[in-house]
Amino acid sequence: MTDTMTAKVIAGLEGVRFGYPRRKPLFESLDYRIRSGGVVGLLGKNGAGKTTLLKLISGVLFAQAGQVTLFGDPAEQRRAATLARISYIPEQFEVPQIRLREYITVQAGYFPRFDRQMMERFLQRFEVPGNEYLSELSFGQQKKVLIAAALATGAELVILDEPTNGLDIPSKQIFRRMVAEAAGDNRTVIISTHQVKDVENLIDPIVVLDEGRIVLDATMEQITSGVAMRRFATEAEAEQAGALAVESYLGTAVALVPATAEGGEPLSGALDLELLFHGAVTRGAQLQAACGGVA
Amino acid sequence: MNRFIWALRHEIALHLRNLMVIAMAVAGSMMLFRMLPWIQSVQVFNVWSTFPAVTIITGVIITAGIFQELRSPGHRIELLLRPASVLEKVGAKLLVSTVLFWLLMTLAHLAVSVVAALLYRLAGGDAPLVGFFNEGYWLVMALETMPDFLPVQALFFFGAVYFRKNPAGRTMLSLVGWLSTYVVAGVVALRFIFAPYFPGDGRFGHRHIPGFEMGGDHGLQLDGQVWREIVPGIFQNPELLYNLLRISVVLVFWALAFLRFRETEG
Repeated sequence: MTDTMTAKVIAGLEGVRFGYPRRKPLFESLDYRIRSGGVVGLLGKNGAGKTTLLKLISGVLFAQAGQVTLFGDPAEQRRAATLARISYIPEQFEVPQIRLREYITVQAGYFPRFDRQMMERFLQRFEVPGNEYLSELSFGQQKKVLIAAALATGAELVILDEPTNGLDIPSKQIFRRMVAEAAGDNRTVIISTHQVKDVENLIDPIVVLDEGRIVLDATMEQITSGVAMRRFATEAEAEQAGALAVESYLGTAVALVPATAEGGEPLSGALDLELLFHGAVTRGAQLQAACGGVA
Repeated sequence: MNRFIWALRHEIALHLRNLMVIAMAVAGSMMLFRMLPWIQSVQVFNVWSTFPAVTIITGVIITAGIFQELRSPGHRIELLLRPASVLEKVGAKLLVSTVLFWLLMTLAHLAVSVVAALLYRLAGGDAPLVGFFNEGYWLVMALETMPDFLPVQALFFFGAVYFRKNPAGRTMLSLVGWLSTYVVAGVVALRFIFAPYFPGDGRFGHRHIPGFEMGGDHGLQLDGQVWREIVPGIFQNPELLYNLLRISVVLVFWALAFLRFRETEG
């Protein structure tokens, strides 16, 4: 896979200001670039602005100041050629009142690189029934159809907002496999979620949004070389070692510390994304510095 | 062009079933209504005589709901990000709410005319059946409805894009408000600016224009002389003026709908 930090920029926000009427501005001057390739994990608390950011990137919302570009064009222009390169499944969706086969046919018409075989394969894996009216499927089934279609469109940027909401446990596993299969050097998948466990081992790079700012934007390689998980006897000991985030488990403290920190017992296994997220929102600058990512 | 075909196919897939049901329900209701006198005696009736009125009324309702996607957040994003240009998306909706709707209404009326004719024969009626088909001019009637339908459709088409909630009601209210403003402005202008030109009110003096009189028991009398004196000859054909007005309303409000849709956010 292409190095995510040197790959070409496919979407960017520069000095973006945005707020909803009669509310505090969500973004004052947001800068962010999305590079080609990889599965971007966009994490943030409820109300952090993840969905708004995705809507700005796709051109559904217009920035009040600054500029949002998508494949080189201003996103708000929503040019047909640009729209054929993106696929966006919102968290709150409603399906059209048409049959599944007709839906596939229409999608295939819009997206020149639509892969029908991939679509059929994904539907089979999700066990979505034959040719029902989409509106007659359950919420979970509807979501599976939309996810399968989004990945099969061949779009270079696939945006999935809280994709695992409403999926059962086996489907979440299938979803992870499908995304891993569909993503590539020329395709970026953005997954916005606050359920980090659902996308563990899938997302790379990781982007954390908090209080209108990107507080972490780093690849897994940068993160794993910059920080480490260690077990300490107490939280105080972990803090002394420069912990970026700590959580107590059964009388011991598990901490995320800079890789250069000393003390504690190194923990093997995957990085705890919840701890990383906690570190990003409480000590974002330190974490970003440790990871050397581009915030 | 290819994208437009897909946008149109998408719209047809979304609306065809509904439009067919509505067209058949409207035409069927008209037929049943016209069959009520058969309780006393079987007679020929012409379901086409109500075609213009029901087409315009039903068309307004259909048009007001043609941008239904904009009313729900989930559908709105899908519509805004559908990979077609604004012109293609709006154009597809326009064709569905005009040509396709009209076509289905015509076919539905034709179908009920055939059914009514068959029922008439089965009930023992022996008059010529051509009466059921507007004396053979059913297609002319259907075609002549379009020029009257389109200006009304254009107003509600714009309303469907502009108003997020209850577009039919709000468009209607806006039209009433708009027309009322013109009436009030007209009355004010007549009373205070043009009053001296009308006989019957001595307060402003009298400046008589031949053929243009108001007051007394005569009300407003405009015999066309004033109009002939002040406008170029080309505009003195009322039919031409009416057609120009209709075309302008259609083009202006379709253009406004396009512009409004382009600026719509999700």
